[in-house]
Amino acid sequence: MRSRLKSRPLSKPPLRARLVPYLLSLPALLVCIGILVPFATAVYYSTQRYIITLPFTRGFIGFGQYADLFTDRAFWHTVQISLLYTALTVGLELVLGLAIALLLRRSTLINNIISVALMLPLMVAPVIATLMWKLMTDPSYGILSYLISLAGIDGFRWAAAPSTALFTVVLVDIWVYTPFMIILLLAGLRSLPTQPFEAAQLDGVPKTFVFFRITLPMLTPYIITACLFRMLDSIQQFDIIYGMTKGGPGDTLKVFQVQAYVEFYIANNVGRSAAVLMVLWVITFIISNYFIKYWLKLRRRTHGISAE
Amino acid sequence: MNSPAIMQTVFDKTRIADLLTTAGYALALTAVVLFFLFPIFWVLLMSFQTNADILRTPPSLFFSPTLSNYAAIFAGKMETSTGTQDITFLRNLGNSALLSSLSVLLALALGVPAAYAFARYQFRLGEDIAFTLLSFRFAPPLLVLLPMALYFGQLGLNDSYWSLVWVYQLIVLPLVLWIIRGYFEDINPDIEHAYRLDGNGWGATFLKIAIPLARPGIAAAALLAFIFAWNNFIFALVLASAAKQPVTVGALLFVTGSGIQYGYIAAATVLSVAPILALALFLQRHLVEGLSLGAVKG
Amino acid sequence: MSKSRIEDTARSFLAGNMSRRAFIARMSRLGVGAAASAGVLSAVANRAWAQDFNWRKHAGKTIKVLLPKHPYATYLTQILPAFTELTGIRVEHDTLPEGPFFEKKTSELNTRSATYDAFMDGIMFAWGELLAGQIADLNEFIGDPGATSPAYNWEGILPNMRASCAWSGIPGDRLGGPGSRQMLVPLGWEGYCVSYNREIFDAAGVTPPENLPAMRETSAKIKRDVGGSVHGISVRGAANWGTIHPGYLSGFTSYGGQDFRAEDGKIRASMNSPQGKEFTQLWIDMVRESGPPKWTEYIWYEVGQDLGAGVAGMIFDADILGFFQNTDENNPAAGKIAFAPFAANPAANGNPKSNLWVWSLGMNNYSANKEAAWFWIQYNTMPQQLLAGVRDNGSLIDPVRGSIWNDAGFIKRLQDDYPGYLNQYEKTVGECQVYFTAHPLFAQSADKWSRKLHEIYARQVTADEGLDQLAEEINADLNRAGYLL
Repeated sequence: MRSRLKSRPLSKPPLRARLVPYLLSLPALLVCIGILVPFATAVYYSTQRYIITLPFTRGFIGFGQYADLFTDRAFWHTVQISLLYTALTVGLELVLGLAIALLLRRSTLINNIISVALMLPLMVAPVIATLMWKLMTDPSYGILSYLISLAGIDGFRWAAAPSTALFTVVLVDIWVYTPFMIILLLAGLRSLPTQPFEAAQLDGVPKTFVFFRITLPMLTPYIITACLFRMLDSIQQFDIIYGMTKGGPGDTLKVFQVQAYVEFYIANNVGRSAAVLMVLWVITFIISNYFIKYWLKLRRRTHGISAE
Repeated sequence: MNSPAIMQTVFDKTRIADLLTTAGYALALTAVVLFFLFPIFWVLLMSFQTNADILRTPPSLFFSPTLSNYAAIFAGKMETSTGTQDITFLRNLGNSALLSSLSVLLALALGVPAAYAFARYQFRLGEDIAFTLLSFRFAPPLLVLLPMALYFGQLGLNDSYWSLVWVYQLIVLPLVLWIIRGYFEDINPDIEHAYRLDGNGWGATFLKIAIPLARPGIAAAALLAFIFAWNNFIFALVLASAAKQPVTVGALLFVTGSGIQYGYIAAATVLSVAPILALALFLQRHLVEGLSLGAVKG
Repeated sequence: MSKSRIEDTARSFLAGNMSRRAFIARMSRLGVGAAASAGVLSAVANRAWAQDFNWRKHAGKTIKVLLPKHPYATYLTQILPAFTELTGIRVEHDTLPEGPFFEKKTSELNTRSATYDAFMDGIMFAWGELLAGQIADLNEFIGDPGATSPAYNWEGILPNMRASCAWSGIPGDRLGGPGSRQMLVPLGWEGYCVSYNREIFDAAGVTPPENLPAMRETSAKIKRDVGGSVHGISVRGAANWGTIHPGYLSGFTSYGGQDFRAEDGKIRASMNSPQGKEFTQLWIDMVRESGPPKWTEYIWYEVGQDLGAGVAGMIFDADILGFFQNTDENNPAAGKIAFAPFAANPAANGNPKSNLWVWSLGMNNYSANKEAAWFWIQYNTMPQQLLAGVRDNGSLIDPVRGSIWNDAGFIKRLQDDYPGYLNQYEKTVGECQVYFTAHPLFAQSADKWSRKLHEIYARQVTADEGLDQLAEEINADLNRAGYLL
């Protein structure tokens, strides 16, 4: 159907009509283009030795900053922990979100009420959510610490111990952001055409087969969209991790943005901070590009079919 | 198969299986609701407790409820051992509402036409522009924020609502574009064609046909964008001074020299969630439908 | 009608004709709360010393100041109306919790913003700010009779406080030494002592510890004997500079540790000395055995809260932290807190070497209203203001002017409500100074230091290995900056 409109003009339309899409999309682009200026500035900073408290040492060093980073073990830890955090949060939130969306699939009153109620964690700002979780996991006054101590687990140290810190921040991330996954996937599930499922039921096709061969493939575009936006937030996570542990204990949770933040606000090292963020940008760009390519391909395919 | 007895057992088996499934569903749903809503429930309870009640060991469900946290927030005064302190939370709440609304309105004004263009027209550089717009979301917030603060300082744009609203586009515009574009793509363009054939221009078609049809998608995108704008912390902290800061910064002000005032923070959290919840309930009908890109396709 | 009666009351109190209690009682009968009383006091006090200086020079101007959420800042905002009445200068203020406050200040200064004309600041941060040209040298105002009231009495501020806020800008140079620029003006300070909960100490049958090995035992005994959710000691432990400067650096210094070795403007990390390692290992062992379970998340808010809530037997932190916790009636431990001096090293014979933190006032070098900002800084640190700040339920403790430590009302307040406070002050003040070596990379090295303590705490490294690694990392940073000795 889309292709019909897009391929309709066999003869070349008048100039004015050809300008319409540009007129429609350029304002958005123009407003955003201003953001390129700071971006370019940051790229420029990343090629400098630039520590604000040492103005006299400032100077161009080309890729020196990057060379420094790539030979620094701590930096590779940052890369590793950021990717691990992203994989864990996006992966677990996808599985959980999908499962919950399936539970809520039928549009009944109770399901609709629950689906709105489940949006609540998303509405609590991560900085505030972090404060609440810190209190709930406090060993003296925290309700969660109390509950698990009733279950016989004593002295669990949550974000304070290197072995459980990652678990704790991932848990908070899951609490805050799974609702985003749920709502997108639920929307996807409810929009799927009913015929294939009815046919499968009539033929007595097993449920697992229906799920893996019909539901999942049809849902893929929604999964990609949801994962793309979650991935963007996760790899750039700051509020939750900085709020919970400042990237600690030690350097355990020093993900990209926390590392860049420490470089800028603690070390006043603008150059290194910009370089760290540039690496993050490149990684984000590559992963997103991959997601989007796949998404476009899928869309083209489904639309190609539906246009027949 | 025709024997009634066999029918009976088959029937019983399915009934038991059904019951088990239902029980399983109920159990799973309960677990989900508990995990996601218990902390909210706990915060709600805390908002009616004094700090002394909250900081009891072990924590307890029993307390004498008080409205003092809310009263203090509405009165704008907090009593501490080192004197009365002003609470500016209501102003923060107003700022959040203003900043988020303006940001989302601007994102819609910019994003809906652009999304329509990408969905309806195949034009040179179209996909590139679309990708570029989305890619603004790839830039780590800090990367843009720090140089931007520098320029804002020099240009005197610091601390104005509009410069914040502009920076917020970084968060909201890509989301709005992506969701609404998908929605437009799944609306059958035949109605628009028919309207055009009646002699109406594209502008009228866009405003009178396309936008009303896409309303659920726009509502859902707007709600999500609103939530993300509302929850932002770092942009406002760095770029604005107190008079313009939102609830995310305001809620932190209950961390005081003589202790962290959890009761106030809880009440502030409840007050900061309430407006979005109201908005979500208001848009509830559109929410799921609006995000289901193909909903109207039937 | 009652305005004159309110002011009469304030004048009478200022003249010493009325006790603090009587003053508060009368003011509340006149419908004036505690906070407003402080404002009335300064307004009345204004008139007495406003005569021989033109405070109205900048009338009509507006300045903006940035403050952290701290009792000092609460006091500063209370006396703003009186300042405006005296000078005609309007003051807008932004207050943020300590973490976001430092971030905001850094962000504003690093982007050369002129939004804030003045701010509260800490000495160690001023080192970098001075070299970056972000803060003004206040000597040019202090020495200018056109800018400073004859009643100001700069020399009346304790010499070590003035010196601590001055530095030449050369790494390793002594604070307040030759060529120093006055980076900040001191407002209030804190030394580090043991603040303990008498009830918990009685229950465990212990007395305030005399040194670190004793502290470790006392703390362990409290945890063992009192039990429940009570732990022996709370100290700061979050991954930032704040973990190093209070108890940790005081004890570290007592043991003979020194953070850097300095020579000719160059420095080299030396925290990995045998003394430093010995102290660090003991310290971390103590925290691990009987400190707070979530130690690695502790900043001073949590340390204070533990003491106030009666969850910690003692803290080794700022004297004023215990002071404020003892004051707030909402705290379960209020009124039960006592104070004792503390020297970590058993060989030190009870002579504490406390590190020093001074909350000070600094001026933004990019400000367009420098002299008006100076008027505000000056006004807040006038002898009369600082004295009023410790009277009543004032919070400007510990005072930076020597004269206030002779004020009978203040001394009585300490003696009545804060057992041991005066004693710990007298023992501590002699060797209370900034024991960090001055250099512009302070925050960065202290941040790394705190994170290394986490690794030692988690047994990922020993203190011996950890501090060696730390020194190596910091030396690499210094080398990059061209400061390495």
